[in-house]
Amino acid sequence: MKKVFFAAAVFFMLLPLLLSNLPYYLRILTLLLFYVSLCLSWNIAGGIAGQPLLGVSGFIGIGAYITTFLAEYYSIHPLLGIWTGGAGAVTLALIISPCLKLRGDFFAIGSLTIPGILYVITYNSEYLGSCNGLTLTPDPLHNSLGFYYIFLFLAIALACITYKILSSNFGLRLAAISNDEDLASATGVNVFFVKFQALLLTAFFSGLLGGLYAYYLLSVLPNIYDFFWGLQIMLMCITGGLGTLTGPIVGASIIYLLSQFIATTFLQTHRLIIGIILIIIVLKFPKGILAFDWKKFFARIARTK
Amino acid sequence: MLGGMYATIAIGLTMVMGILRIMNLAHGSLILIGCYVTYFLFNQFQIDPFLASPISFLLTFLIGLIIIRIMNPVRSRMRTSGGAGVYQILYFIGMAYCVENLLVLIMTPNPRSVFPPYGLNTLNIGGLSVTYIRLASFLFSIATLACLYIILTKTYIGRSLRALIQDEEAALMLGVNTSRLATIGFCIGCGLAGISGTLLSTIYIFNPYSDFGFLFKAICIVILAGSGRASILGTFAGSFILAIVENIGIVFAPPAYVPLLDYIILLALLLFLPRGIGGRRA
Repeated sequence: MKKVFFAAAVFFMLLPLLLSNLPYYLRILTLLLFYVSLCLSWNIAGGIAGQPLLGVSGFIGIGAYITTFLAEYYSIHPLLGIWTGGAGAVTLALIISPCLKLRGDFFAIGSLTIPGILYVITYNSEYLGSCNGLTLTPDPLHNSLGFYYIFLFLAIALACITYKILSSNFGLRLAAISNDEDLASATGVNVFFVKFQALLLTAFFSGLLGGLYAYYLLSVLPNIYDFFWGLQIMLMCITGGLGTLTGPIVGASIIYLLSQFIATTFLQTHRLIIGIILIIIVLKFPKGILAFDWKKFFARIARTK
Repeated sequence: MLGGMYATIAIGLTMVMGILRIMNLAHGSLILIGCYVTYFLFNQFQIDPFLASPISFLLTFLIGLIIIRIMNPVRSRMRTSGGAGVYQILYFIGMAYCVENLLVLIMTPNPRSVFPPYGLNTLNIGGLSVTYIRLASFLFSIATLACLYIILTKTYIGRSLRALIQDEEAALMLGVNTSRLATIGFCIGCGLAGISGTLLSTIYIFNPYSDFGFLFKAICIVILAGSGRASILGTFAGSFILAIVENIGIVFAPPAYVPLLDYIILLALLLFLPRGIGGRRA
């Protein structure tokens, strides 16, 4: 397993050499790595701990807005600003953390209120650019190859963190909570505190990534708070398999490329198709496409023919 | 007045939540379907909104049947496997987005409202003027709730439904066909969403994206009423409180921030009063 990851990392590091005169593909790959890191960070609270954190777009959005805001009004460089973005997301996580004491679906709803509130506030605030959002001016540090490596680095770092968590005591506690909360608490796991830590980790990395995303695109719009984002990230994780290391990486790659294709070819029915894919994945591949028994599946198809 | 209508929004969700033990995030979409059915019937065939409500009840009932039929084979697995109902939540939210996009495709994303010719006629009761349509909606929702109350307390189906909501295994042991009953109960909950959609369509302007707004209102009431206890009276009290708080808020808040109210009320409820008004602390 480790060898595969190492090979993949080296492959992605060398890939830009091939793509140096194909900026469109470099951009797609950069955003792909962005989604991979986002999924890996969501996976900590959402997958390993099994908490349905629907409102992750709130964390991404506040990271993006804080970063651009600081750059615009206080001319703080975005690469410094993203850390405050991460801190802002952590603050939000602190605000909603009492919801973690409630049942999963209430927590999902509680986390959904965050992007909703932020959306209304940003949309109505002239200071934050209302519906036009904020823009950044490009600076010498802003180049596309650099971003590719930043996101690659983050993806690798998050993969290492996930690996560490999964093989640690903390990861076991999270998995226990995900399987049966009452049982976990009965065996002496401090359920709330463990979930709380997972949420903070997710929030911090989402905020950081949001800030980087805004810096990469040089602009941020209020629709960054769209619930649909959170949904897409969940879909990516669940496609690959919740709570695993390979799951979010593979799932994000598949769904991102697929949704690029869908968004360009079926412009109007984009959300419908994503919704249908989500339903199919949830019903037929609840453990992800990697854990699905493909051999058996193909054998059955062959037999019916 | 609004309180009565809010009660109809929430009671369906309460029932579904009692049965599935999980929040139906597609509830707002079902309400919206009710709105659009009423709009369509009113504009194409000049059918009065109140006469349209049985049709929207039936339609959302059928849609509910489809939703639960697709889900039924895997429902038990969903409940047992994996963290806090992530799968069910994802399933419902996927459904919500399907409905939203279909509505955008079919009805276009323009905001709509149903406005019958008698919409502006008002009635004066001791200095308070109330439009007939609000009064009628209020009475209609009270009537719906009364019917529901009678069904739940007097008939066999209703009593076994309540048994199911209280304790599924015990109900199963006493000879209730729980899976069939759960299907029926879910569909009735969805149908109630359709009715409340009809009632809301006469008051609110709606577009295909307003489903989450409706959903949040419903969830606020469910939490206020004490989550998952499926009591009609509790729901009623909760919806009146929500309506009053909202209206006071609308007076004081700047108009652009009014959509914020629901979110803030919901978040505050989740943070400070997650067990409802009558509830004890855990």
